[in-house]
Amino acid sequence: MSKIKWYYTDSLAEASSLLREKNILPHGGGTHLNNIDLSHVNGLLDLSGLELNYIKQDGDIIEIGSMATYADVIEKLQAISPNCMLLQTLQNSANTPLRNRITIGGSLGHIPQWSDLIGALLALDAKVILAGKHEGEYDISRFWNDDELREGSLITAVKFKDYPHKSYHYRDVKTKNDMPLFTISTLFDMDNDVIANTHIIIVGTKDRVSKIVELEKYLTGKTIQQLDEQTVIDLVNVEFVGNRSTDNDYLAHKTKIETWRSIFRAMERT
Amino acid sequence: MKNYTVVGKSEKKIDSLSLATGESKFVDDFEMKKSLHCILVYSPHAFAEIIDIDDSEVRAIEGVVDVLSFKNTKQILHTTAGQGFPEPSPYDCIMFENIVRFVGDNVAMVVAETPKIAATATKKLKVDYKVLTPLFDAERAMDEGAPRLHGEERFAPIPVKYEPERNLAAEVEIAFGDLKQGEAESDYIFDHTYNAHYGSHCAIEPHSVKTYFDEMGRLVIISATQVPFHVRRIVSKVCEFPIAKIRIIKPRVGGGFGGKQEVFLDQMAATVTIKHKRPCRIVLSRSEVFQSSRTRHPIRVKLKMGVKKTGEMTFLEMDSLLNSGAYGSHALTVLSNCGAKVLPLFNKIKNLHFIGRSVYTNLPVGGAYRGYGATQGYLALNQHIDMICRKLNLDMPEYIKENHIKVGETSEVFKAIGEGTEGVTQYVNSCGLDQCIDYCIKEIDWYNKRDKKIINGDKVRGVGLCVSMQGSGIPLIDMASAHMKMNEDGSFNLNMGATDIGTGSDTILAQIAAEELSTTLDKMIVLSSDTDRTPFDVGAYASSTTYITGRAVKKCAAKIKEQIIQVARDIMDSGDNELIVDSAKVIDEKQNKSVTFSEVCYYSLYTHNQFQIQADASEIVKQSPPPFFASTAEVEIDTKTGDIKLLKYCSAVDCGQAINPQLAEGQIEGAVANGIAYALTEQYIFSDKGNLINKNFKNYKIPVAADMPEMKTKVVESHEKSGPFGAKSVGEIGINGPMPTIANAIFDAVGVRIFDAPFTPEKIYRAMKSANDE
Amino acid sequence: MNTVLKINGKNIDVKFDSDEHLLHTLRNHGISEVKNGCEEGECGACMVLLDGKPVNSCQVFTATVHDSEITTVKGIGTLHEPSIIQEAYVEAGAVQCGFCTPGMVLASYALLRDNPNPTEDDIKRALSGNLCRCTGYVKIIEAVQLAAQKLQNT
Repeated sequence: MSKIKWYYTDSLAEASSLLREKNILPHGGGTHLNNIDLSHVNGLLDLSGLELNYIKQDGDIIEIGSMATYADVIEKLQAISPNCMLLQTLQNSANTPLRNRITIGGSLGHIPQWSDLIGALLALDAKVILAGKHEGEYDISRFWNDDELREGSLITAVKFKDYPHKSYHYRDVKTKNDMPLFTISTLFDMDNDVIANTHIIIVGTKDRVSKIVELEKYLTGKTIQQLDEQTVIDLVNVEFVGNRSTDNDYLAHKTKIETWRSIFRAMERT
Repeated sequence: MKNYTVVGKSEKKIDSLSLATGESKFVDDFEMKKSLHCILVYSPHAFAEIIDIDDSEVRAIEGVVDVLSFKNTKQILHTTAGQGFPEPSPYDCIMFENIVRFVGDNVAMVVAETPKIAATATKKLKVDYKVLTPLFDAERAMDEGAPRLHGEERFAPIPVKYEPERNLAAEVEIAFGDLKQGEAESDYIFDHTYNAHYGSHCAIEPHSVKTYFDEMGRLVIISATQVPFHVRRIVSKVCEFPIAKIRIIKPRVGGGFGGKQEVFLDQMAATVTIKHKRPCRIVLSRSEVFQSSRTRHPIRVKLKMGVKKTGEMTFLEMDSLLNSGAYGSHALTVLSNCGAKVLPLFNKIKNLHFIGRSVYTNLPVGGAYRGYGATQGYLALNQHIDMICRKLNLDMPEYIKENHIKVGETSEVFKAIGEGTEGVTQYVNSCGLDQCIDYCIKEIDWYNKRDKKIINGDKVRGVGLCVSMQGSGIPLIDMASAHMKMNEDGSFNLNMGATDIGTGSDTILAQIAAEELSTTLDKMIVLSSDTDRTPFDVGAYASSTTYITGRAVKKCAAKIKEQIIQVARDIMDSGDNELIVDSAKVIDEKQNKSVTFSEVCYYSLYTHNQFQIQADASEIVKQSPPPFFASTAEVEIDTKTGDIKLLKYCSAVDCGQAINPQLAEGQIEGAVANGIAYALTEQYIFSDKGNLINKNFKNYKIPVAADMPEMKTKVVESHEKSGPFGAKSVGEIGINGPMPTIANAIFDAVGVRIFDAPFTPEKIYRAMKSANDE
Repeated sequence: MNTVLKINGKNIDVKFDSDEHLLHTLRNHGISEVKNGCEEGECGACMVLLDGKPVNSCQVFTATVHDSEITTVKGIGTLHEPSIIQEAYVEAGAVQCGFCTPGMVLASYALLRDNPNPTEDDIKRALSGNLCRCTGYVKIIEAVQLAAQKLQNT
C-alpha cells in the first residue's frame, strides 16, 4: 500500500498552503512525477480543481494558465496567434498523447535538461505568475535562476506580450519523437527589414540555458544581407557536458551551424 | 506464374480482426487467480562472485513468499538458446549461480503476492559480492591472462571446438583453393574491417510467462515464445520435471524477431510453481528486456578480397570476431551464418578462407536476431563490392548480376559450413535476384543519381545498392509436422506446432492446406503451438516455417485429399473412374456426378465404413533454398553537420511463390524498417563499468511513422520447385539491406566510407572532416 | 483507494493504490486490451482516450481521472461489431503481431474524428506516440487512409 495521500482543492489559497508543507508535490497531469522516486513523498496535490486551464488574450498580452496542456496551447495559438514562437515550439515537442498531458506549469516547474519550453519563454520575455510564499509576477529569467523563488511556490500562469515577431525553434533529435539533445530558440523583433531586437537562446548546454548575448548584440540593428556567416558562427561558443553518449565538440560545432541557419529559417517563416 | 485460387492471394490474416478489436490474448492477458508475482534482482557488477546472499529482511516482509537464488535452486548447466537437441550452443548457463558475469545478470528472484510487494522487497536483499576484473574488449578476450568467464565444467553438447579457458565460445573455419595464388593473381586488394553493433529487438510486448498446475497436476506454461517445444524440453531438463507433465501454450505473441527464441524465464516461473503449487507470473520491464534478455551479437568483420582488372574476384578472406557477451547462446550458429549465408552469394571465388571466433565478454548476452549473422556479414561484403566497382569503374548492378550465384549453381560454402554439424551440398533452383536488382535500380533512378552528388543547398545526395541471400530453414535438422481432421461441413482442423508470432504463419499455412484441398481459407480452423494439442515443430526461426512446415502441411493435406477421394468413390460408386477435386467437391466427370466435401464427411462419420478423415505428416528438408534480396536507397547528407536523411528506400525480395503477397510485403517492410533504425539510430551505450546506460525507449531510439522514408517494396516471384507451391521464405532477409545500402549511399554522396555502424551524424561529420583535412 | 471509472460508457467500481497508474488499474480489473509495452509514455501500447483525447494510461494517476470518460479500443468497435477503422486495419494488412494495434486504432480514431481528410503528414503526426516494430508503419498509414476514405463514403 502506498502511503501517498491525495489532496484535491479548488482554492488557490489552500493549494498554496498545502505546498508549503513538507513532501507534498503538485501534480498537473504531466509526466514528471512518473520519473522520480516517490518513496519520500507524503502527498500529491491534484491541481485540476483550480481552474488554471485557460488561455486568454487581453489586448496584446497572452496569458496561459499553468494547467493548460501543450495540446490546449497549440490549439488556441493556432487560432489567435499562428506565428507565435511558442506555437512552433510546442507543436514539435514530445508526441501526440504526451502533448495532451504535459502542462505549461509542470514543464516550468521541472525544467529538464532538454526542455523545449524554456527557450521560447525566455525569448518572448515571458513572465511567470506565482501564488503562495512568493506571490507575484516575475521575469522568467529570474524565476529560472532563483532556486529560493521556486521553492514552495505554485505557478498559476505565464504571460507574454504577443507582438509580431519572426522566430524559429530548432530541436536536435534522432527521431521525430525524441527529446532534443539541445534546442536553439531564435526570435527577431523586426523594424521593417532591420533586426530591432533579438533573442538567441540555446538550451541543453553545460550551463543548461545559454543566452548568446554577444551574437544578439551583433545582430541588432542589421539586416539579413549585412550578416557575415563566419562572424555569427564565431560568436556562438557553447559547451556541452556528455550525457547520452554525446560527442561534445561535435555538438558545439553543430550549434554554430544551426544557429546561423535558424536566423534564415526564422526570416522565411510567414 | 502459376495460377492458384488461395495461394498467391492476399487473404486477410485470420487473427487480424481479433487483434484489432482487443480480443486476442497475449500472455499477460490470461487471468490467473492467486498468482505469485516475481521480480528479478540483477547484478550491478560486470563480473563478480556472490559470497553470500542474506534474504532475511526480504522474507520478513508481509506478502513475500520466497527468494530464489543459487542457495536454493537446481544448479543444472544448460543453454538458454531455443534450438534443436542437442543444441549447437554451449551449456554455460545456470538459472541462478554464485557468479555473475555482466551488469544485468541474474542474482536472485523475489516471489510475492503482488508485483509491488516483490519490487519493494528487492531493495532489502543483501548481496555480498567479491568483485572481479571484467573483460569488455572482445579483441582481448583470448589474450593470455584475460579474465576467464567460464570454468571447465562448461561444455559443448555437440562435438565442436569450445575452449572456455580461452574465453572461446565457438570457432568455425573453412578454406578451399589457394589463397596465396589468389592474392598473387590480384590486381587490386581490398582489406577493411567493419563493425556491426549491438541491437535490441524492441518487440513491443516484453518477455512474459505464466505457469500453473492444471486440475490434473500438470504444469502448464503460457509463454511468449518462438519455440514452444524447445521450452518444454529445456524446462524439463532444468527443473528436472518430466516432459509428460509439462504443457506449453503459445498464445498471441507481440513480436519476437529472435528475441523470444530463448528459454530463460520459463524455467524460473516453472520452478516457483513446482515448489509452491501456485500460479506464477514473470513479465519483464522494458529496461530488463534491453539489458537482461538477449541482444544482436556485435561482430567485427575483417574482409579481404582481391580482383583482377577484369573484375574477376580472385580470393576472399573473412575473419569474423563475434562478441557473445557473458553466455554463448547462439554463439556458434550466428557466427556460422556470418559466413554461410553471405559467402555463397558470389560463388565464383575459387580461393576462400573464413575464420570466425565467438568470445565471451562481461557484457549483455547475444542471441538470435533476425538476419542472424548474415546482417553483420553483408555490411562488409556489400561495401567491398561497392569499392571494387568504383575502383574498376564497373557498373555495379551489372557486376553483381554477372557474379552472383545462378540457378543450377552451387557453392562450396554450402557443404562446408552447417549449424554445428556439417553443411549440405545444394544447388540453387530459383533465383529472381536480377529482377530484384532491376526493380530497385529503376525505382531509385540509379543512373541519374549515382556519382552525381546532386546538391540541395548545404546537402548532397547519393544512392547505394546492396544484395543479399538468406536461407529457408536448416536442412536435415529442422523438423515440422501437421495434423488435420475433417468436419461435417467440409471444414478442417489444422493443428501445427509452427509458431505464429505475428508473422501470419497460421494464415499462410492454412492457405497452403486450402489450396491443396481445393477449398477456401475460411474452412481451415487453425490451432498452433500447443505442445499437448499440436505435433512437433522446431518453431519460428531460420526462416523455416513457410518452407518446411508448409511442405508438411501440403503433404498432410494431400493425404486428406486421398481419403476424401476414397470416400467419394464409395458414395458415387465410381469404380475406377478418374475423380477430380475442385471447389470443395469431388467430381466424377464420366458419370456426370459430384459430391460436396460436406457430403463426403457426413458419409465418412455416420453412414458406411465409418472413420475419421484425418492425417498427419512430418517433414525435414535436404536443402535450404535461399530467398534473394536487393535494395537501393537515396540519402541526403548535410555537408556541414553530417546529418543524414534517408529520402527513399526500395526493396525487392525473391521469396519464391508468395503464399500471401500482402503478408510477404509486410515482412519485408518491417524487416527493412528495423534495419534502417539499426543502421542509423540504434546503439547500446555502456558506462565504463559495463552498465547499459540507455535501457529505455527514451534513449534507445527506434523510429516512429514520421521517421520513415518513402518506401517502395516489391515481391518478386520465382518458383522454387522444392517449396510448397513454389515458396521459399521471406521472414529475415529484408533486415540485411539497410546497413550496407545506406553506407554505400553515404559514400556516393560525400565520398567517405563508414565502416562502423550505426551511421550517426557525428561519425559522418568526423569522417568528412578527416577526409578534408587530408 | 476506491472510485468509479467510466469505461466505454459503463461505470466500473475500481480499487487502486494511491500511486497507481490508470494502465494498471484497468488491467487489474480485466481490461486487458490496454497493453503494457514500456511504462515510459513512449510506445503507446497503453493508449486510451481520456475525454476523447489520446493519452498514455501508464502516465496517468488513477486518482486524477475523476469523471473523465475512458475509451479503450473495445469502445471503438468489437469483434462482433467492428468499426470501419478496425476493418480498414485488417484489410490493409496493418496488423502483424497486433500488440500495438489497439493504441494505433485509438490514435487513428481520434485523428479521423477531428480531421476526416488527413494528409500523410497529419497521419504521421497523430501516430507520433505509437511505436510499431513489425510493420515499418507502411500499411498502418495505408489503413488510416483507407479508413478515411471509407468513412467519407458512409
